[in-house]
Amino acid sequence: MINLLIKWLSLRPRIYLNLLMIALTAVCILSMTYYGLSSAKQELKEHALFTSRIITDSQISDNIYQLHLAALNFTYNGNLSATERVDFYYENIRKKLYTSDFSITNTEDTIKSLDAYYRGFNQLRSLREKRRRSTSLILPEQVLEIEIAMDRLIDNLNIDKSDHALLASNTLVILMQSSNQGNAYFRRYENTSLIQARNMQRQAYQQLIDLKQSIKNDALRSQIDHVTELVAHYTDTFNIAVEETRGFLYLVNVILAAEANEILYQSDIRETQITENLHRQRETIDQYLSRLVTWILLVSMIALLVQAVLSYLITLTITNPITTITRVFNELSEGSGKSIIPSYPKDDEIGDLTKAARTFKQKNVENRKILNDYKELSEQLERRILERTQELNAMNKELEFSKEKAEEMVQIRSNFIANISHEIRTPINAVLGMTYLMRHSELSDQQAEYLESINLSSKKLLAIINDILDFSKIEAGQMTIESTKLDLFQVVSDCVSMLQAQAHAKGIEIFTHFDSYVSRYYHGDPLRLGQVITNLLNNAVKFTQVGHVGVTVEAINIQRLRIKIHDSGIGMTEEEQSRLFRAFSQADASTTRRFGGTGLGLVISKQIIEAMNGNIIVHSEKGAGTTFTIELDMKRVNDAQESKKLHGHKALLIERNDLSRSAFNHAMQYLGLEVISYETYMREHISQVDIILYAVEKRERSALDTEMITQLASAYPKTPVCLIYPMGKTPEKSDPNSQNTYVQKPINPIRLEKVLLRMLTGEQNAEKNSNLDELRQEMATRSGSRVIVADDNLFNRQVVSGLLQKSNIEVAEAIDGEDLTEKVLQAAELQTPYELVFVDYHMPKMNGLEACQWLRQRFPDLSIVVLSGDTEVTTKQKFFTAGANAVLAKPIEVKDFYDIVLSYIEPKQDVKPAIQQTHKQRVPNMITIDTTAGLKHSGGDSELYLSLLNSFLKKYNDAGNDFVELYNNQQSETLSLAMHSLKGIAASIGANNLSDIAQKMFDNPEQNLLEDVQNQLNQVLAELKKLDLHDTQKTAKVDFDQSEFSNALNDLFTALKRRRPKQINPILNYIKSVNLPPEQASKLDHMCTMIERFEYADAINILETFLND
Amino acid sequence: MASRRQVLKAGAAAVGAMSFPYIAKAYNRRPTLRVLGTHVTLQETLRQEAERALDINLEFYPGGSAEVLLKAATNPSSFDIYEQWSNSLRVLWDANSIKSIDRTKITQWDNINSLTKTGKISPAANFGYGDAPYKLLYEQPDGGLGSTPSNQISFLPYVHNTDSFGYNTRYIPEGVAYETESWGWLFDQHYRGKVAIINEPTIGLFDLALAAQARDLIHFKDIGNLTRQELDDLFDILARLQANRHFRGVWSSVPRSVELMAKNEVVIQSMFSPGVSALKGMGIPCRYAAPKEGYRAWHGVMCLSRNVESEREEMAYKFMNWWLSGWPGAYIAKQGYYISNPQISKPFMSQAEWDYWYDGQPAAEPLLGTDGSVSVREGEVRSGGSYVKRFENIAVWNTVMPNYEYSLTKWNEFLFT
Repeated sequence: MINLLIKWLSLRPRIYLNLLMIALTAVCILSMTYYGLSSAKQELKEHALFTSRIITDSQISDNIYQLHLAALNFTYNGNLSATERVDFYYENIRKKLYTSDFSITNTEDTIKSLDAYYRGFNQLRSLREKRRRSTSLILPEQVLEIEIAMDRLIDNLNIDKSDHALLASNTLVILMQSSNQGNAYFRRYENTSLIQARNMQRQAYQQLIDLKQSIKNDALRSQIDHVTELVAHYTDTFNIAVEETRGFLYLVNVILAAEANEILYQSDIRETQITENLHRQRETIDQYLSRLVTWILLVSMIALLVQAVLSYLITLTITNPITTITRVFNELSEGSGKSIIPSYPKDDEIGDLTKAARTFKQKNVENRKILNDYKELSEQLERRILERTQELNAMNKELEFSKEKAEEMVQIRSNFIANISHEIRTPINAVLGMTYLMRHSELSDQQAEYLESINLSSKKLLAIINDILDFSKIEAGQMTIESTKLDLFQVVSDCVSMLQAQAHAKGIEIFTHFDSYVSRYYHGDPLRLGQVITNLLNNAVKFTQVGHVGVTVEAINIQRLRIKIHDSGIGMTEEEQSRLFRAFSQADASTTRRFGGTGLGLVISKQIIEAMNGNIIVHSEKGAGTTFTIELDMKRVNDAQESKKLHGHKALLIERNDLSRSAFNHAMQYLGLEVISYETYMREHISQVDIILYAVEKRERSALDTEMITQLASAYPKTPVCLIYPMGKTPEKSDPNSQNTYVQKPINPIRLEKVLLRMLTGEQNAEKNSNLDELRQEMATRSGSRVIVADDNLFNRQVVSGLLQKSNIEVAEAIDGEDLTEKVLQAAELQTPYELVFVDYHMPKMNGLEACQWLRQRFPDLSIVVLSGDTEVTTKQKFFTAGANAVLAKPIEVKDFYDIVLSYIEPKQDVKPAIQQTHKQRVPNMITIDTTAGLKHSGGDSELYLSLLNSFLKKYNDAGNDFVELYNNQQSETLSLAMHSLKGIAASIGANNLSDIAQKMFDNPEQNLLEDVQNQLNQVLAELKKLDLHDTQKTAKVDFDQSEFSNALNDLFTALKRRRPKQINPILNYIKSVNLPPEQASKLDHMCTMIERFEYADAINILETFLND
Repeated sequence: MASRRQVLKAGAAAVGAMSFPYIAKAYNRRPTLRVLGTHVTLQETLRQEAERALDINLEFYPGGSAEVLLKAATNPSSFDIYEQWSNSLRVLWDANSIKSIDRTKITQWDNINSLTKTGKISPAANFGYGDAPYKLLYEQPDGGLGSTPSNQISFLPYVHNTDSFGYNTRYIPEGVAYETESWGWLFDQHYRGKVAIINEPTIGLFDLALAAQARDLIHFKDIGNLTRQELDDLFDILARLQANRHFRGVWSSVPRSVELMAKNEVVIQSMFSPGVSALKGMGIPCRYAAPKEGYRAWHGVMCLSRNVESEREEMAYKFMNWWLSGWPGAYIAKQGYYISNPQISKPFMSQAEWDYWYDGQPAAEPLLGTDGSVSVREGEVRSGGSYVKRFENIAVWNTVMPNYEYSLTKWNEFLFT
């Protein structure tokens, strides 16, 4: 079928055929509907006609009523118009009946009845007319005739005989009465009237007959006969009229009424039939319409069904080939390509599509071939790419290797730098040491100042090394910025004074200038800030040959500062400026040779400032000087105690140099002084000033100066004069008064304040707490306090104990965290709690942090100070979180130590103890040990220091071998711990190099630095051995008392057994202090060493043997 | 009296129609006698038989009762012999359109039975209300009519019968004569809309009055002479029935009555004997009731025109005597009518006919009607019994009452309310 259609018609005609068929179906359905509606309309029209007929018919009964009423009206009233109405209704009904619906069965009967009625009515009409004539014409005429005849008769009878006339008259009366009665009957149809009328007629007739018989006269007899005849005639006529009356009454009441009744009955039947018909017809119409609707629906549905099937078939003729071709296309695209494109017989669009499919298939085959070729090529290409990639990978690996190597190189370089730095440090330390020693010798102030400069310069050199180390740190991202209270004036002054000598040597003046809004105290990192300022100032001095260098500090706002370091030096080109902040570069390579320096300073400075939320910018012109501007966040400390002691004083400032004058002006105003310039002085002749500051122009006081001073002295006789000396110039040594009445340029606000205070208020002790001796004195007020120190390192314990015991503070020692907690608990139970705890960070069993936490939980009010070599901010934070009140850096700065103790221990006694005159023992200068630093850590107590040195010697005498042993046994952890310990102890005695190398080894355990450690340790030990430490101790020894000594040894034995270091130590000290016979001394020496090494078991063995002996 | 049936067959309106359809005129030179009357007796068979027997020309002028009455009453010269029913006699007599008959000239006078002479067919019989024939038979000395015998009689007694109502036993269970059958059935609600009455106040009124009385709805002092009040009361009852559409209607001719029942428009109605016969002939089981209240009886009267004189008068007496000569009585018996001198007619009847029609016996054989077809099936019994039995039970005679005119008006009301 489908194929037949395809063969028969091409695509478009097929589609058109489909559309045509749809249209035909629609037309078919529409026609059906139209036909249906039309016939329904026709049907309804017929129904309407029928209904109208029925309406007509329903009027018949009404008309019959009207008809019969008219007939009755005519009958009884003689109303002629009623006859017309009868005619009208008759015709009307007849017409209606004739036009009535044929379906009504009794129309004929009804017409028959109607016609009968009308016939009857016509008879009625004629009968009534007859009666009318009888009653209205004939009877009155006859009555008149009788009357006339009777009158004549009566007249004739009167002549004859009166009796007869009387009878005749009576007869006439009767006749008249009869006539009246007759008329009454005709009017009212009452039977009584009729009977009376008839009786009277009979009576009159009889009387006339009787009269005739009584009269003999023939004429009269014939006359009576005539009258009798007339009366008989009248009676006949009367009877006829009566029958006529009865006739028409009968007609209307019986005949016509019956017909009317019949018509009405028939009408009823008609109505019933009509109703039935109507009902039937309605049903018929309903049925017809229902049938019609059913038919229309059926036909429509069939048409639609047929249409749907045909449409489906036609659609199939279109979709089937397309689907097939689509499938073929899909198969082709999937690559099977084996499917056959079906033949399509027609040359239409699908035919074209089929052809196209065939072409496509063909092309597809070709394409596939091309694709295969392409694939092959691709594979080749891929292979080659793979090869290249492998090559590249190899290259990458090489590169990576190179990179690693480079990094390794960098690391090596860093290490190298570090090592070199260390190497350089050693000689510098020597220089510094020598300088230090010289400073303690008798020196003139000038010499002291020179020496200070040497010291500072050496330190600067050290700083360069530190720069390099810093840079390494920066590179490693380990740079941290501390935030602590700093004295900005002090920081700047320190920096300036560090370079003062250098500047002075070059004839350059250094000015410092503080904006009046700048506070003295800020939160920040004083060391780092100072490092930056020093660096920049150093550069400025370095690159300035003539002129000045200035430091200006301005407050941008409450928490941001601008620090400018400007010079009138050689300046830089823009290109040079651009290279400034790069590592290892200076503005000009040649300048490096000329001026030296690492070239790292600026880089480090920049990094530091940036770490402080700041920046450094440079303004420079070749030959016109350079200005470095630092802007950084510095939070001001609200220091209410800020000195305004000089407030209200007037000062006359005479300084010719503008820059310098301005600086002094500012500084003095800052201190609260009212400054009067020379110009003002000259102009206004100020009568009263409190102090005069006079800047000496040259190194030597010139004549001018002398004259001026003399002049001023005369003008203000009692006013002190403070001379401002240029850099490098100091007053003559011979002038003792002048010692505290001058200041030096560049301006140092602190010194200025100190000097001015002394001169104006006579206050001597401006520098509070700055003196170590004073601290020591204050420490005496804490005598009797209880302190415990926990450190696994004996040496460290000794330092702390030594520092405190001088102030009669009871010091307990704990060897680790557990020991500490045990002792603190015990003390608390015994109601003798410790007021302060020093705890080391690195400890076995329970480290400082854990101990800190443990203690804080149980003793919230206990003051805990952590001792740590690592004072990085993050580490500190860790301690604070754990509950520490303060962190003290190792090696211990004595001043800081005393500050902490004073802060955390309440004064115990008011009595000011006499300053303990410590026996000043000479501490020798040593190469490997910075004894100055070491002594400092011991609170300047040389005795303590020497004992520490002795302890060190004893502890580490054989340590070198022990280290090697540990190393060989790969006990790296123990070794590491040992290194850490060594580092700390070495630092506290001032063996900085040893400490550093130990630190290094601790930091880099993988590097074999053991040899270095050994070497350094041996050097230190060798040097210590040279010292006659024993001698020193021997002088303190007491005489040997056998019993006392034996008791001591027994006590020691018990204490050792109980592991009670606190009890052990005093006994040990006693034993050491006793002069023993040499054979006993050597044995006990060994024991002491063992005890000091905390090798109690060995010590017990020795002691046991010793006691047994 | 086959004339009635012939008239029925002619299809013309019988009782009420006032047309004068045809005049059968004699064209020979024999003396002619004009007879005015109804179709009941003016039948062609009878006319021909009479002409043959008497050798005279006979002209029959049949018409509706009212029509012929009017004609006779108003124009005595229009007829020689007038044949109608006793209820019209007083009118004619009063109208002076007829004259008395000399009974001595009536050959069969002595054979005429007592029904008309004394009013009773047997000693046990009722007189019956209304104008019983015997009350009008004799001319009295005052010129009026009365029962006192005289030689002058107002009419010649000849055909008569008892009428009642007929009912279709398909629809109404057959009753027992004189026991259960009652005029009251006409008012039975069960037959509402299926009841018809003859359209004649002088006849139908009595059917209705009898029915009302049988139902105890009303009691009349003299059912033959209703007062105005009694008429009013009666028609009130009828109006109520009409309001309930109790009556199918009225019929004015016997064929019409047959048609009504044949078409089943009616199951019970006033009937004449020929109508019942016709229905039976048609196979419709119509029973002619024998009401326990008695029959409404009628009596045929043959009168002489006032204007008949001499030779024509002689002819008239001949014709009257012919009627009582036997054969006509036998003939008319075939349609159920009786003759006043049955014994003379008996020889002209078969025994079966006599037994059935007069003796109240079952028909020994199928009996033919005047038209020659079987009108009585074998074994059938005439309802009401024998001649005597039937006439012993007269309730009322057809009568023109004194309040005739008033009753007409009432009749109109009855029909046309």
